[in-house]
Amino acid sequence: MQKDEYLKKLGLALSGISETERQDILADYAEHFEMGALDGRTEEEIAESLGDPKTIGREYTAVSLVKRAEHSPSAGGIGRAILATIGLGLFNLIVVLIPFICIITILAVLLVIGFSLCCAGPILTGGAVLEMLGIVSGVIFFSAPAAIFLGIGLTCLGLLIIIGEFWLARLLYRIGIRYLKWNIAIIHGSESI
Amino acid sequence: MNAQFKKGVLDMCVMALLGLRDRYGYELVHEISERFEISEGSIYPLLRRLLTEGYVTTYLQESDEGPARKYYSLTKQGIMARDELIREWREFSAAVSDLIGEMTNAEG
Repeated sequence: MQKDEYLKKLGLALSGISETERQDILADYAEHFEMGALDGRTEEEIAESLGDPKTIGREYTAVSLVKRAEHSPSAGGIGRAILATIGLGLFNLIVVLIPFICIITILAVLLVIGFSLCCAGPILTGGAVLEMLGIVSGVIFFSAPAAIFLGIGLTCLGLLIIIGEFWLARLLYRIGIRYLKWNIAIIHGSESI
Repeated sequence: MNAQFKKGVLDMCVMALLGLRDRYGYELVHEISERFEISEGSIYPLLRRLLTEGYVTTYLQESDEGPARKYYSLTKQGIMARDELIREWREFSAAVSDLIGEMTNAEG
Protein backbone atom coordinates (compact mmCIF):
# COMPACT_ATOMS: atom_id res chain seq x y z
CA MET A 1 0.00 0.00 0.00
CA GLN A 2 1.25 3.49 -0.86
CA LYS A 3 1.38 6.38 1.59
CA ASP A 4 -1.57 8.24 0.06
CA GLU A 5 -3.77 5.17 0.06
CA TYR A 6 -2.79 4.34 3.64
CA LEU A 7 -3.60 7.84 4.89
CA LYS A 8 -6.88 7.84 2.99
CA LYS A 9 -7.94 4.54 4.56
CA LEU A 10 -6.89 5.73 7.99
CA GLY A 11 -8.79 8.99 7.48
CA LEU A 12 -11.95 7.09 6.58
CA ALA A 13 -11.62 4.86 9.66
CA LEU A 14 -11.32 7.99 11.84
CA SER A 15 -14.81 9.17 10.94
CA GLY A 16 -16.18 9.22 14.49
CA ILE A 17 -13.86 11.88 15.90
CA SER A 18 -13.40 15.63 15.62
CA GLU A 19 -11.80 17.12 12.52
CA THR A 20 -8.86 18.72 14.36
CA GLU A 21 -8.03 15.46 16.08
CA ARG A 22 -8.34 13.61 12.78
CA GLN A 23 -5.93 15.99 11.05
CA ASP A 24 -3.54 15.70 13.98
CA ILE A 25 -3.51 11.92 13.82
CA LEU A 26 -3.06 11.87 10.04
CA ALA A 27 -0.14 14.29 10.44
CA ASP A 28 1.55 11.83 12.85
CA TYR A 29 1.34 9.06 10.27
CA ALA A 30 2.40 11.34 7.41
CA GLU A 31 5.45 12.28 9.48
CA HIS A 32 6.16 8.60 10.07
CA PHE A 33 6.09 7.93 6.33
CA GLU A 34 8.43 10.84 5.66
CA MET A 35 10.86 9.76 8.39
CA GLY A 36 10.76 6.21 7.07
CA ALA A 37 11.55 7.44 3.57
CA LEU A 38 14.61 9.26 4.96
CA ASP A 39 15.59 5.92 6.47
CA GLY A 40 15.60 4.49 2.96
CA ARG A 41 12.43 2.42 3.32
CA THR A 42 9.79 2.20 0.61
CA GLU A 43 6.22 3.35 1.23
CA GLU A 44 5.03 -0.25 0.94
CA GLU A 45 7.44 -1.41 3.66
CA ILE A 46 6.40 1.38 5.99
CA ALA A 47 2.69 0.74 5.43
CA GLU A 48 3.26 -2.97 6.06
CA SER A 49 5.01 -2.44 9.38
CA LEU A 50 2.50 0.18 10.53
CA GLY A 51 -0.31 -2.36 10.44
CA ASP A 52 -3.86 -2.27 9.16
CA PRO A 53 -5.10 1.36 8.97
CA LYS A 54 -8.69 0.27 9.66
CA THR A 55 -7.71 -1.41 12.94
CA ILE A 56 -5.66 1.60 14.00
CA GLY A 57 -8.51 3.97 13.13
CA ARG A 58 -10.97 1.94 15.18
CA GLU A 59 -8.72 2.10 18.23
CA TYR A 60 -8.47 5.91 17.98
CA THR A 61 -12.22 6.20 17.59
CA ALA A 62 -12.90 4.00 20.63
CA VAL A 63 -10.41 5.92 22.79
CA SER A 64 -11.90 9.24 21.67
CA LEU A 65 -15.52 8.20 22.33
CA VAL A 66 -14.67 6.80 25.78
CA LYS A 67 -12.93 10.07 26.59
CA ARG A 68 -15.98 12.04 25.47
CA ALA A 69 -18.34 9.82 27.51
CA GLU A 70 -16.13 10.41 30.54
CA HIS A 71 -16.18 14.20 30.27
CA SER A 72 -19.79 14.72 29.28
CA PRO A 73 -21.71 11.80 30.80
CA SER A 74 -24.77 10.72 28.84
CA ALA A 75 -26.51 7.47 28.06
CA GLY A 76 -25.97 7.97 24.33
CA GLY A 77 -22.31 8.81 24.84
CA ILE A 78 -21.54 5.69 26.84
CA GLY A 79 -23.56 3.67 24.34
CA ARG A 80 -21.43 4.90 21.44
CA ALA A 81 -18.23 4.32 23.47
CA ILE A 82 -19.32 0.78 24.26
CA LEU A 83 -20.20 0.08 20.64
CA ALA A 84 -16.84 1.43 19.47
CA THR A 85 -15.01 -0.72 22.03
CA ILE A 86 -17.00 -3.77 20.98
CA GLY A 87 -16.05 -2.98 17.39
CA LEU A 88 -12.39 -3.53 18.25
CA GLY A 89 -12.76 -7.28 18.16
CA LEU A 90 -14.93 -10.34 18.56
CA PHE A 91 -13.53 -11.00 22.03
CA ASN A 92 -14.85 -7.63 23.17
CA LEU A 93 -18.35 -8.68 22.21
CA ILE A 94 -18.22 -11.01 25.23
CA VAL A 95 -16.17 -9.05 27.74
CA VAL A 96 -17.94 -5.73 27.09
CA LEU A 97 -21.45 -6.47 25.86
CA ILE A 98 -22.43 -9.15 28.39
CA PRO A 99 -21.49 -7.18 31.54
CA PHE A 100 -23.19 -4.14 29.97
CA ILE A 101 -26.45 -6.03 29.39
CA CYS A 102 -26.33 -7.47 32.94
CA ILE A 103 -25.86 -4.01 34.46
CA ILE A 104 -28.67 -2.48 32.40
CA THR A 105 -30.98 -5.35 33.38
CA ILE A 106 -30.19 -5.02 37.09
CA LEU A 107 -30.71 -1.25 36.98
CA ALA A 108 -34.01 -1.67 35.12
CA VAL A 109 -35.29 -4.29 37.58
CA LEU A 110 -34.33 -2.10 40.56
CA LEU A 111 -36.09 0.87 38.98
CA VAL A 112 -39.28 -1.14 38.44
CA ILE A 113 -39.16 -2.42 42.06
CA GLY A 114 -38.60 1.11 43.37
CA PHE A 115 -41.49 2.57 41.37
CA SER A 116 -43.81 -0.29 42.29
CA LEU A 117 -43.14 0.26 45.99
CA CYS A 118 -43.65 4.00 45.59
CA CYS A 119 -47.06 3.31 44.05
CA ALA A 120 -48.09 0.42 46.32
CA GLY A 121 -47.18 2.25 49.56
CA PRO A 122 -49.52 5.28 49.16
CA ILE A 123 -52.32 3.04 47.85
CA LEU A 124 -52.03 0.80 50.90
CA THR A 125 -51.91 3.75 53.30
CA GLY A 126 -54.78 5.49 51.51
CA GLY A 127 -56.89 2.32 51.53
CA ALA A 128 -56.25 1.82 55.23
CA VAL A 129 -57.18 5.41 56.05
CA LEU A 130 -60.43 5.08 54.09
CA GLU A 131 -61.12 1.79 55.88
CA MET A 132 -60.54 3.40 59.30
CA LEU A 133 -62.84 6.29 58.40
CA GLY A 134 -65.46 3.74 57.43
CA ILE A 135 -65.72 5.02 53.87
CA VAL A 136 -64.84 1.62 52.47
CA SER A 137 -64.71 -1.79 54.06
CA GLY A 138 -63.10 -5.08 53.28
CA VAL A 139 -60.20 -3.49 51.40
CA ILE A 140 -57.61 -4.17 54.09
CA PHE A 141 -57.56 -7.69 55.40
CA PHE A 142 -55.52 -6.94 58.48
CA SER A 143 -55.28 -4.21 61.11
CA ALA A 144 -55.79 -0.85 59.39
CA PRO A 145 -53.31 1.14 61.58
CA ALA A 146 -50.64 -1.46 60.79
CA ALA A 147 -51.46 -1.12 57.11
CA ILE A 148 -51.00 2.67 57.30
CA PHE A 149 -47.49 2.29 58.68
CA LEU A 150 -46.67 -0.57 56.34
CA GLY A 151 -47.73 1.66 53.43
CA ILE A 152 -45.51 4.50 54.64
CA GLY A 153 -42.65 2.03 55.11
CA LEU A 154 -43.04 0.65 51.60
CA THR A 155 -43.09 4.16 50.11
CA CYS A 156 -39.88 5.07 51.94
CA LEU A 157 -38.25 1.82 50.86
CA GLY A 158 -39.24 2.53 47.25
CA LEU A 159 -37.80 6.06 47.44
CA LEU A 160 -34.58 4.71 48.99
CA ILE A 161 -34.23 2.18 46.18
CA ILE A 162 -34.70 4.89 43.55
CA ILE A 163 -32.16 7.20 45.25
CA GLY A 164 -29.78 4.26 45.71
CA GLU A 165 -30.24 3.40 42.07
CA PHE A 166 -29.19 6.92 41.10
CA TRP A 167 -25.93 6.59 43.05
CA LEU A 168 -25.36 3.06 41.83
CA ALA A 169 -25.80 4.17 38.21
CA ARG A 170 -23.25 6.96 38.70
CA LEU A 171 -20.79 4.58 40.31
CA LEU A 172 -21.26 1.99 37.57
CA TYR A 173 -20.80 4.71 34.95
CA ARG A 174 -17.41 5.64 36.40
CA ILE A 175 -16.37 2.00 36.73
CA GLY A 176 -17.63 1.37 33.20
CA ILE A 177 -15.43 4.14 31.77
CA ARG A 178 -12.39 2.79 33.61
CA TYR A 179 -13.16 -0.70 32.37
CA LEU A 180 -13.45 0.48 28.75
CA LYS A 181 -10.13 2.34 29.04
CA TRP A 182 -8.44 -0.70 30.54
CA ASN A 183 -10.01 -2.88 27.89
CA ILE A 184 -8.70 -0.69 25.08
CA ALA A 185 -5.25 -0.50 26.68
CA ILE A 186 -4.80 -4.20 27.45
CA ILE A 187 -7.32 -6.64 26.02
CA HIS A 188 -7.55 -5.20 22.56
CA GLY A 189 -4.24 -5.67 20.87
CA SER A 190 -4.18 -9.23 19.65
CA GLU A 191 -4.53 -7.87 16.13
CA SER A 192 -2.90 -4.49 16.42
CA ILE A 193 0.50 -5.32 17.94
CA MET B 1 5.80 -12.81 21.68
CA ASN B 2 2.31 -12.79 23.11
CA ALA B 3 0.52 -9.58 22.05
CA GLN B 4 -1.13 -9.02 25.44
CA PHE B 5 2.27 -9.17 27.16
CA LYS B 6 3.56 -6.42 24.94
CA LYS B 7 0.48 -4.26 25.05
CA GLY B 8 0.63 -4.19 28.82
CA VAL B 9 4.23 -3.03 29.04
CA LEU B 10 4.44 -0.83 25.95
CA ASP B 11 3.25 2.26 27.85
CA MET B 12 6.02 1.70 30.37
CA CYS B 13 8.66 1.16 27.66
CA VAL B 14 7.68 4.38 25.90
CA MET B 15 7.70 6.37 29.14
CA ALA B 16 11.04 4.85 30.13
CA LEU B 17 12.56 5.94 26.80
CA LEU B 18 11.08 9.43 27.20
CA GLY B 19 12.61 9.64 30.67
CA LEU B 20 16.08 9.70 29.14
CA ARG B 21 15.34 12.54 26.72
CA ASP B 22 12.57 13.93 24.52
CA ARG B 23 12.02 11.91 21.39
CA TYR B 24 9.88 12.03 18.26
CA GLY B 25 7.45 9.30 17.25
CA TYR B 26 9.55 7.61 14.60
CA GLU B 27 12.52 7.48 16.94
CA LEU B 28 10.43 5.79 19.66
CA VAL B 29 9.09 3.24 17.21
CA HIS B 30 12.63 2.56 16.00
CA GLU B 31 14.10 2.19 19.51
CA ILE B 32 11.43 -0.27 20.57
CA SER B 33 11.22 -2.33 17.39
CA GLU B 34 14.97 -2.87 17.57
CA ARG B 35 14.44 -4.72 20.84
CA PHE B 36 11.20 -6.56 20.21
CA GLU B 37 8.72 -6.81 17.39
CA ILE B 38 5.79 -4.41 17.45
CA SER B 39 3.25 -3.21 14.97
CA GLU B 40 4.70 0.25 14.42
CA GLY B 41 1.32 1.87 13.97
CA SER B 42 0.27 1.04 17.51
CA ILE B 43 2.77 3.45 19.09
CA TYR B 44 0.87 6.52 17.89
CA PRO B 45 -2.49 5.65 19.51
CA LEU B 46 -0.52 4.92 22.66
CA LEU B 47 1.24 8.30 22.53
CA ARG B 48 -2.11 10.03 22.04
CA ARG B 49 -3.48 8.19 25.05
CA LEU B 50 -0.50 9.34 27.14
CA LEU B 51 -1.10 12.87 25.85
CA THR B 52 -4.78 12.92 26.88
CA GLU B 53 -3.87 11.43 30.27
CA GLY B 54 -1.47 14.34 30.72
CA TYR B 55 1.61 12.10 30.96
CA VAL B 56 3.36 13.68 27.98
CA THR B 57 3.36 17.00 26.16
CA THR B 58 4.37 17.62 22.56
CA TYR B 59 6.17 20.33 20.65
CA LEU B 60 7.20 20.70 17.02
CA GLN B 61 10.84 21.17 16.14
CA GLU B 62 12.35 21.81 12.73
CA SER B 63 15.15 19.49 11.66
CA ASP B 64 18.01 19.83 9.18
CA GLU B 65 16.63 17.05 7.05
CA GLY B 66 13.04 16.07 6.44
CA PRO B 67 9.85 17.45 7.99
CA ALA B 68 9.38 19.20 11.34
CA ARG B 69 9.22 16.56 14.02
CA LYS B 70 6.72 16.24 16.81
CA TYR B 71 8.68 15.68 20.00
CA TYR B 72 7.19 14.03 23.07
CA SER B 73 8.28 15.08 26.52
CA LEU B 74 7.41 13.40 29.84
CA THR B 75 5.48 15.61 32.30
CA LYS B 76 5.86 15.54 36.10
CA GLN B 77 2.67 13.48 36.21
CA GLY B 78 4.15 11.19 33.57
CA ILE B 79 7.32 10.68 35.59
CA MET B 80 5.23 9.65 38.59
CA ALA B 81 3.16 7.26 36.48
CA ARG B 82 6.31 5.81 34.92
CA ASP B 83 7.96 5.22 38.29
CA GLU B 84 4.83 3.54 39.58
CA LEU B 85 4.60 1.28 36.50
CA ILE B 86 8.29 0.36 36.78
CA ARG B 87 7.90 -0.42 40.48
CA GLU B 88 4.90 -2.65 39.77
CA TRP B 89 6.69 -4.27 36.86
CA ARG B 90 9.77 -5.08 38.97
CA GLU B 91 7.65 -6.60 41.71
CA PHE B 92 5.60 -8.58 39.23
CA SER B 93 8.47 -9.84 37.09
CA ALA B 94 10.48 -10.84 40.20
CA ALA B 95 7.51 -12.84 41.49
CA VAL B 96 7.01 -14.51 38.11
CA SER B 97 10.74 -15.34 37.81
CA ASP B 98 10.67 -16.85 41.30
CA LEU B 99 7.68 -18.96 40.41
CA ILE B 100 9.22 -20.19 37.17
CA GLY B 101 12.51 -20.87 38.98
CA GLU B 102 10.77 -23.03 41.58
CA MET B 103 8.97 -24.93 38.88
CA THR B 104 12.11 -25.67 36.85
CA ASN B 105 13.99 -26.68 40.02
CA ALA B 106 11.21 -29.08 40.95
CA GLU B 107 11.18 -30.58 37.46
CA GLY B 108 14.98 -30.84 37.23
